[in-house]
Amino acid sequence: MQQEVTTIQGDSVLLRPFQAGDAEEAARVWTPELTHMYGGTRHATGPAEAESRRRRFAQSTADETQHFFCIEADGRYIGFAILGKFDEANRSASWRGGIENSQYWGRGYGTEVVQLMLRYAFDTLQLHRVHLRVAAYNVRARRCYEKCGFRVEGIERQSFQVDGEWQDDVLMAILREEWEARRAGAGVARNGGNIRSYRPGDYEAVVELWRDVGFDVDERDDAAALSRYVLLNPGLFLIAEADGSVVGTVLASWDGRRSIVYRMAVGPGWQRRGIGTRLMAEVECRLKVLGARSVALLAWRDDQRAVGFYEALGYQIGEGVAFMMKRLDAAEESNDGLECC
Amino acid sequence: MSEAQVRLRPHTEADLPHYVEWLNDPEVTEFTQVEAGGGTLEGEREWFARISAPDCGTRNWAIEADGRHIGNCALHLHESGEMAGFGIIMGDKTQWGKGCGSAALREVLRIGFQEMNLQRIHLTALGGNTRAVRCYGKCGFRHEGVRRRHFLKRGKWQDVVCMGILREEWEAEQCSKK
Repeated sequence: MQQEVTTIQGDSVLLRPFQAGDAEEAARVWTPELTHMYGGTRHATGPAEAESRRRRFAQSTADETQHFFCIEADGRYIGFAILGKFDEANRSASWRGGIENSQYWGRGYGTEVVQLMLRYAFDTLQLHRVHLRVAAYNVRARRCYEKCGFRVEGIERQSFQVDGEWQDDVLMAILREEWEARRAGAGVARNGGNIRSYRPGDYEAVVELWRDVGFDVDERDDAAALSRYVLLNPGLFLIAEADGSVVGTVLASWDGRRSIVYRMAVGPGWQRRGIGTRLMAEVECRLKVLGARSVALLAWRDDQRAVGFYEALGYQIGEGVAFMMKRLDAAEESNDGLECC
Repeated sequence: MSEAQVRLRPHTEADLPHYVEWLNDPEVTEFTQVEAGGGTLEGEREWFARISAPDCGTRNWAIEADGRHIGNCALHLHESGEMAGFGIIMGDKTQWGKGCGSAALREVLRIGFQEMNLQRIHLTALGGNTRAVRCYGKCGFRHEGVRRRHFLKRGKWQDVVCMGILREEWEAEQCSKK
């Protein structure tokens, strides 16, 4: 595929072709952490690094099957961005890239670059789908991709080895309609700013909140289980934050066909301020972007407050529906009966 | 049901006309990740030359039942040499539904893990191909993900199901069979 655009200007970065000085700068900022980030064993750099980078940059530039950009910020090379593996019949491509100068990590540069490249992929190249793979342990990159609208599509188990240990790859992708829906404003950004996705650091506060509102918290809710939930349902575990603490939660799941909302909770001191309504609006919006046409939830019929809250949001009690359930861990005599959250 | 008997053998020139016929059969290619109509004898001769080259990154086999060539399958080796992708086409429609595909796959798994010493074998299937997905599950593959609207098949976007089996999973299954 022919290179159609040579430079892309963002607010704080410029994507442009490889030029003199880039390889030397890449060698200068190189850290062993980088190879680990890309899925290799951490190794030290040598004097040949600049030369090897120059050769690889020149190869990438000459390779007509991909679109290769160097990322510039403050007048210097800070990383690279590639759209490659173009599949013409299926109008898809694969993303690869990284911010290599560690001074620019954690400051939104990666997010800006990915967003610029997605705009290029969907608007300029008219692609249908952009996918990527990322080492499961590369949490910073995964968070960046999630922020940019990529969804986890799968986990390739034991996909590569680092220092003798098998590691998983996470497969992610964003579709054209998801990109367009985000651009139309159907995202978190417009919603006041203090509703965001769950992060592992929220764990203690979330469990405390759930206990405060009377949810049973058991081994299904340990930190690993909640992290797994986030991996399987990216962007569907939401936190409401106020004054720096967690004041509300909602979880949703979407299996490609149906969606369910649960664990909707607002802390005792924070109720009746519209936080629950905003959490529900955000989660519904996200489900809609994913393609859900309806959403279901469970509430106790006698809990007039809960039922009234959901009715005010447009939920209707299903007529003629029986809620059925069977315990699969029947070895223990169950005494807690049915659960609905 | 007892397992169907199949034999895997290297391809010969004589297999090529069968392959061309299958690739042009819309029923055979209903769920393949190539569109029907692409097969020509010339194209398959090139393919045969490619897979016969010593540095070819795939291991290819013809599947035989009762001495008849009924399908093809292959392992596409990853550059690391530690994993491979599996592909299969069951061309002889009279042999469908008899478990020949599963039998061929089980033999490929044995070769991959026992002889080639692979760590992992994976495959993809079009989302609509429920029969194949069920068969792969029975052979020990685990569901690893769904690439959404990844493939344009006969004008419609199709999801692609990703499945994988690890060496230890395959070994555990061999032990439990004994």
